[in-house]
Amino acid sequence: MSMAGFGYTRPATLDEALADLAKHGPDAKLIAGGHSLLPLMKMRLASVGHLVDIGRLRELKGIRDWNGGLAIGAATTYREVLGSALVRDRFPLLIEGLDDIGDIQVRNRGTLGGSLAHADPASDMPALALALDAELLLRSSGGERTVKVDGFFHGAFVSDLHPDEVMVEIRIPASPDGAGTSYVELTQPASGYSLVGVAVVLAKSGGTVSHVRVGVTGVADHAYRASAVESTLMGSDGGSAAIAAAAAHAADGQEVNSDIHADREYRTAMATAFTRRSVESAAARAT
Amino acid sequence: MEFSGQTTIKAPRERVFAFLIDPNLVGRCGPGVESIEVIDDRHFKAKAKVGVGFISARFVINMELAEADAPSHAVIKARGQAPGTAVDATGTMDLAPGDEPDTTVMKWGANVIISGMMASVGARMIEGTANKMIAQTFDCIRAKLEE
Amino acid sequence: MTIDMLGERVKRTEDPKFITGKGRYLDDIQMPGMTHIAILRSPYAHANIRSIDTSAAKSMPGVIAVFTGADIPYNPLPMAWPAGGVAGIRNNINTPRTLATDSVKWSGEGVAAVVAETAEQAHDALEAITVDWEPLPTVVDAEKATQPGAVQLHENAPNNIVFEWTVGDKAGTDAAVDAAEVVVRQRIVNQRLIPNPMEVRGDIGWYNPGTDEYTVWMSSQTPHIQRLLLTAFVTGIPEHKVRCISPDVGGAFGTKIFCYADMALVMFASKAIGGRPVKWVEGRRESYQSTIHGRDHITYLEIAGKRDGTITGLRVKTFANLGGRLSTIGPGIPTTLYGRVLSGCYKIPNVYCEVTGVYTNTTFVDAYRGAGRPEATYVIERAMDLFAAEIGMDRAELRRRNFIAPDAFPYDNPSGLGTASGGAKIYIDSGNYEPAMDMALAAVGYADLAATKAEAASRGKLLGLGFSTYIEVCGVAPSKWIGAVGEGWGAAMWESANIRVHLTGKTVVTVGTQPQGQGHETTYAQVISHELGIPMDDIVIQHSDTLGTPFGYGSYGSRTSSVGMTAAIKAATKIREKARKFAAHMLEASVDDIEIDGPNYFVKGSPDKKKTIQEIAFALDLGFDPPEGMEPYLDETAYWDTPNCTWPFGTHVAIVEIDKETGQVDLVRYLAVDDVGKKINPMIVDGQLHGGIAQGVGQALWEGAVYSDDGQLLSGSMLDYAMPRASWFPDIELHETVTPSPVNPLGVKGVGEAGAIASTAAVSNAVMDALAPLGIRHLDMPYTPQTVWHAIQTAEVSR
Repeated sequence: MSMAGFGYTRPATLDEALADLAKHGPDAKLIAGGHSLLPLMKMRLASVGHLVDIGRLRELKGIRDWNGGLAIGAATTYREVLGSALVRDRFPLLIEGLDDIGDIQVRNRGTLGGSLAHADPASDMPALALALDAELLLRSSGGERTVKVDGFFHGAFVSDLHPDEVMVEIRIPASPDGAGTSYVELTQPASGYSLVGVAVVLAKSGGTVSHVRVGVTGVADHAYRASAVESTLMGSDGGSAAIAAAAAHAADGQEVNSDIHADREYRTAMATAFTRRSVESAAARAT
Repeated sequence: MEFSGQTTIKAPRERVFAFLIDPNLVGRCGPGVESIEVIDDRHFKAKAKVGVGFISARFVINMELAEADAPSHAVIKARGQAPGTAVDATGTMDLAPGDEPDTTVMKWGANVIISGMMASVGARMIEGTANKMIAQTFDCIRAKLEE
Repeated sequence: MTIDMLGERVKRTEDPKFITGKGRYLDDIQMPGMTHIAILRSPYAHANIRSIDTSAAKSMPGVIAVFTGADIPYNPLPMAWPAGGVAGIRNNINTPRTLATDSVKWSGEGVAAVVAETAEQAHDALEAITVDWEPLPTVVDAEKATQPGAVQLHENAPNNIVFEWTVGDKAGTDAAVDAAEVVVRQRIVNQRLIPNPMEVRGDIGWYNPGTDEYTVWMSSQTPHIQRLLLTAFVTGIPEHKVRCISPDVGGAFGTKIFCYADMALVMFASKAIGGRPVKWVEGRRESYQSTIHGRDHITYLEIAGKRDGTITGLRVKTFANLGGRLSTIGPGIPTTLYGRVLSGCYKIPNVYCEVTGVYTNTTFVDAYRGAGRPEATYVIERAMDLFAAEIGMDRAELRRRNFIAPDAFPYDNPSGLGTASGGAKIYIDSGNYEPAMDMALAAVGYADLAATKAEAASRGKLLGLGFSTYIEVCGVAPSKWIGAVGEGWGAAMWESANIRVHLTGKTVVTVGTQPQGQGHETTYAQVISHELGIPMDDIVIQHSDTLGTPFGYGSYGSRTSSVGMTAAIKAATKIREKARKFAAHMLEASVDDIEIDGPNYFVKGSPDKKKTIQEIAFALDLGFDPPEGMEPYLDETAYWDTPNCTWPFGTHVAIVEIDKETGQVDLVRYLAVDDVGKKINPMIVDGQLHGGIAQGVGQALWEGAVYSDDGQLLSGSMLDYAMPRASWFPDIELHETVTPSPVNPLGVKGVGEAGAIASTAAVSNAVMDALAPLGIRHLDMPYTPQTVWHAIQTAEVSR
């Protein structure tokens, strides 16, 4: 397939990028790695008047300490994250969740911020960011704001990111001491996206669960925190019985997706099964 | 794909019916509608940008008021075309007086067939998206009537 | 000294160019003045075309011409292989036109085309074409399409039936089924597959106004056949005015055997615009809708026999979905290549098969790797397992009792290979099935299966082992039989080769077969080097261009080694004989006294008194001193029409583990014993088996084209159509037995399809073995987690 024509600029600075966005208005679209956007443009499913390429902006790259957690530039690639000793040390969950995204080419080009901004309902990164309590630094020519990832996703491919905004940074606070983490997924074999993906961060204190976050992707029209699972687990002993009871709530309150790979009944059952498995694994890793 | 639902509108049935058969009114509630052109009292043409997020296509939609039994029943048929994609939809609306005075219960059903590109590569999101758009359309109708 | 490389694991001489990006595929071809054509395809699966408005498109930037079906005077595409061989059989034929004129029968049928300066401009202009459609109801299921009241696609095909074909003895089989102690019945679906060669299809048409000749580059397995079909059947252009060239072809799996509308379109368009070249290359999604699909059978099988394990009858009724219009040899696949080999490697006295070919609002179906034989193997191998389960007999034991015995060859297969109305018969000429099965079962530890299952159960997994004991028919032949069975194959099935030993000793072999990645340039060179004693490096294999190669039927059906290379050996034999005569002249000896050892021609008993083939070629090609009556040059052509097909066989074993909670199936072990006769290059044979096995496993576990009831292809791209990936496979363990084919001098049988034929049934039987303890008898493929999970849920509820 061949794309329709479009304009293209590659600004040298973030301010220039913001000015470009403002100038081209709603027809403009940001591109970083392009591995979600370009296929859609080739299929002519996304009509883009003007592309603003932020993939090489140094201001959007890099991984640094942030209050004991990490701030990751939005245009940092999967490959850069996977190769980072800091990430490996502080957030092994990101390594576990991202190391099988796409293939090597996708990981070399795809960016964390791109994935979050794209808001694909079956991407892994949104579930990971939810479990990690991440927040996002967004900037427009009018100023900047930070938003929690929890609440950022509104629907399939729809997020809280405004058309004139650039995601600058993903900020991940330090996890509680001794937290165990896990990401398990049931992969759709054709696309590699998750039919169900469950990210968990869990900590115990004095024999009971003192912190738990469960991010679920692939199940509904956007990634969500399984709050009923979390509230059932909090204060429990985090044993198998408690985990199984909590996992039963994995899809509570969600309009569960149905497609040729997983109908509603199967997907709902797998949300529970993979939530149970992921929580079990995180609990076993918690110290 | 078949969708259906029911909504109670705080407006008398005659007013609801009049709204439903007026392209300039009901047309504004269609997803992404940018312009409406009335061809005759039963036919009109709309241009709409329909999609999810930035995945979207511009459709030219020919609509026909296929059945209109005032004040209780109307059927609108629509055929939309976008590059590589076609949408054929039939919307059925049945109106009954509500329990409260000056309210109307609208039962609606929609049959939607999507053909071409969007059907063959968008399968995983089509049903949820269509459902949402249809619900928004009928919410919009209710909201405008209750303004 | 030339080293004889025949039978050696020679690295493929093609590979350096392919793996370093120096191959020259169709889309790599750039020509001065090249234009690009894009095809507007129907979004609807069934619709009438009321009108097409191309006016806006014509004025778009870069647009040179816009065509609709009404502009193109050509005939519809040919039907080269209708179902035949049965008295009075009728084929209700509808084939595509270059562009549809009044209606479309599947989503993706072409209705208009734009020629523009760039591909992007052509695609942009497609968006400006308006078609006034009248959508019609649709049917996508072959069985439903034949029911009363179903939507009718074509006036000449009542109940959407293309043909109703039968083979075998109906009365005898009915009697055998009626009288049997045990009859097992099952409806099974062999789902539709999308072939997915790595390189999609494409063509370039170039009309030369100076000579009134056409050149067509095409990503094709069959350039000679396409020249014949496009000229004599479609366009009416004289055959000698057209040259067809296949550049490097990046995979095909059968999809590139056929005559497609786009080939005629680029020819028409190039002439219409005054002779600029016109290129068309399909996108992957376009390929999913406009290049053929494979399989798609719904089958009712009945297998009958005695409680002691003697199979007495096989009765099969199949609905074969052929799509909205017919592809080039669509009807031949579920008839000749399926019904006639249904009984596999078993001696079943009564076999009867009915096949109904059906039109539906789907992409056309034709030969895909294995073509009919995987479907047949799936039927018989599932049937054997179902029968064994029914009578409580070990699956291997049941097979052992019913194999055609090694002394029963040649074996006349009652399911129809010998039912030709006259002339030549084909028969299963060789085989020895039990040792292959025993070897496979011993290697996989079949005797310890219970313990293996128990170990898996201790890890919470359901383990299953399945196998298939398959036979395959390769190198379909001879031409006399093809003609005699009346099955209409508008072609013979011989092959051709020409060898020229130039005066430098460098050797050019031109062949009528056509590689698509199989490594023919290597394997032909191995064979010719062995035959003539000329180093492989001095031999070039040329193919794929109707201008420079002798007419040949191309490569498919695993025919190249058995038929094509035999033609080359025949040509080499002629070269040797001429060289021997000339050597006798040079050495002043009698021809009968000249012995040949590799490149050396010498007088019997005096090996020092010799001339090499290179010396002979030099002198003979110069022609300064020819013997009386001898023409100069070592240049010989040969044609070979093989007396019979070849009959590979073997046993494939799969072990799977199923996660009961999620329904996920893991292939944990795969082992195959294949008897493909002798091997020219065992490394290439292994590669063919690996690839074929992966494709067959893909059908069992992941692949499947899914249509909505509205005829929309929901698995319309690689986002939803799951191709197998290397990382999902265990190491494939390959073993062999060797029973040389008696019908060619190499003793080879062909191996391009064997893996795909055997593996689907093996994996299917493994999954069913794993699920048997839950009371699950049969599930239709692919065994996706969702399918397996639902089956487990249903089984557990009913227990």
